[in-house]
Amino acid sequence: MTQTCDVAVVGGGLAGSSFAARLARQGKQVLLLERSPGPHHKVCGDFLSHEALWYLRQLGVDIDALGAVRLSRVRLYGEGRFTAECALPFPACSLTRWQLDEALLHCASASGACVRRGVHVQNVQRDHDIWTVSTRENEAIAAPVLVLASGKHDLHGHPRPAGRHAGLVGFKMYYTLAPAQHALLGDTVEIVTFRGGYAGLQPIEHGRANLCALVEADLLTRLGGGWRGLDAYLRERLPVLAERLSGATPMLSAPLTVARIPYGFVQHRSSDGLWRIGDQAAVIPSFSGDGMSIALHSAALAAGCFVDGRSADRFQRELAQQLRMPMRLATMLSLLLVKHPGLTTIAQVWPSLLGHLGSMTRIPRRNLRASYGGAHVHSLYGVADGGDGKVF
Amino acid sequence: MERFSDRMDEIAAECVRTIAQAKGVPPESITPDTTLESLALDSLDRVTLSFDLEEHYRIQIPEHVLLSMQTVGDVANAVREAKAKREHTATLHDPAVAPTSRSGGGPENA
Repeated sequence: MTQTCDVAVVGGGLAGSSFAARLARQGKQVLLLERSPGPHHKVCGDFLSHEALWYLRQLGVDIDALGAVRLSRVRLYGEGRFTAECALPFPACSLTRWQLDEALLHCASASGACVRRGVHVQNVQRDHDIWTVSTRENEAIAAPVLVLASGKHDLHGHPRPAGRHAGLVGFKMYYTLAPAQHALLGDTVEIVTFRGGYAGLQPIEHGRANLCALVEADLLTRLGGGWRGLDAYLRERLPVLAERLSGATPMLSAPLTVARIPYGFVQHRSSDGLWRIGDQAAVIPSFSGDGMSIALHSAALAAGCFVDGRSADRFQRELAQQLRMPMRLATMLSLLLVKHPGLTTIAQVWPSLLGHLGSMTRIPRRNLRASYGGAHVHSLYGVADGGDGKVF
Repeated sequence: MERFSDRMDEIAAECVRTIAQAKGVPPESITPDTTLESLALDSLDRVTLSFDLEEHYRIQIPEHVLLSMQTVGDVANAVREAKAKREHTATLHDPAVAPTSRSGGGPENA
């Protein structure tokens, strides 16, 4: 039995869900296929920058109700030692993907999209302007338009190229820190650089903390190839992490990991007619804090382009053009920092450099505009605030 | 400098209308002196508001102006300035508009 729809979306992460919500609100028949059956963790810094917050508000997602933590400062620890600190020059929040992805999937179905979970897409084929999607569950879906939003997971037959800073392995662990350490962390994002990688620590909802680490494959191999060796290395070599993690309780039995992340990858064209959004469109180095913003922006831009009758190729080119500078800058920095973690001492004499760099990888406002008109939903301001001082 | 032209009133009125509609409050309750904070308009709202006004007037409001707006009057001023800048730029680049010169000669060939 073949299910049909106007638009089929593969993947219900940030990009897929928000795209589906926008299109459904425009009256399109959207089918969203998500492989997870329920809430799940994702390897992600859980950092929502200003643009991400703006897009989520546009969609009507109340992140405060979900327990999002306000972040107001960033601290840099070059080679594990305190180097610089400054206020974040823009509003930001911390929210786990466990919460956020579910909220967005709910938003998609509440907007009228048909959301199917527990569905694993195996193959997509195009024949005479109709895409046929086949699943592991032996189903077939036919749609004239197909959106690829499968995130870190490449669809069989559609692999992404390696990117410009490949070879990094990502780890993510949640902790309950010792109370004194949690207090010292405060509402701060702590970025720790070391030879062969970098790590980030920030508070998340319910008094916990998120540690993400990116390590070059060579270093990881030398450390024994797994989390145990890496964990020991981080605590021994990086004073700030030794301090923060002393007395900390890990919240997961094992860390989440992801390998072969194509940092620096940008999809420039669509020669096959696929609309690529989220990580399938571009993967910005994690320390930029703009991964989620870019995912949400790509979905908004795609929805706008689609409603305006533009082609997938036109959309892909426009998105690539918009992301060119932020990606270039973030990739350069990523390559530099991992090789020369000591360069962070520049920030000692110029603390606000941290903030400036954070701002330079953001999606420029004029590009936010490009996504604004097409699928404009006027309930934008409308999250009821009741004057409780929810001011960013 | 006080210029109580109709055009100026129209811009202020449009700003009031846009904000009132977005926040779901009666437009009569908003004056140019009303602060954005009292309307619970935060920095995310400013982005959306600026897009609404930029689309309506076909202008661009610079980031630093967006951040510094405190009252509804400031918003109207930001629109006025952006409009003036756009009109000035348009006349500079419009080949149909003859360059002014002291000698008062007619339009030169481009």
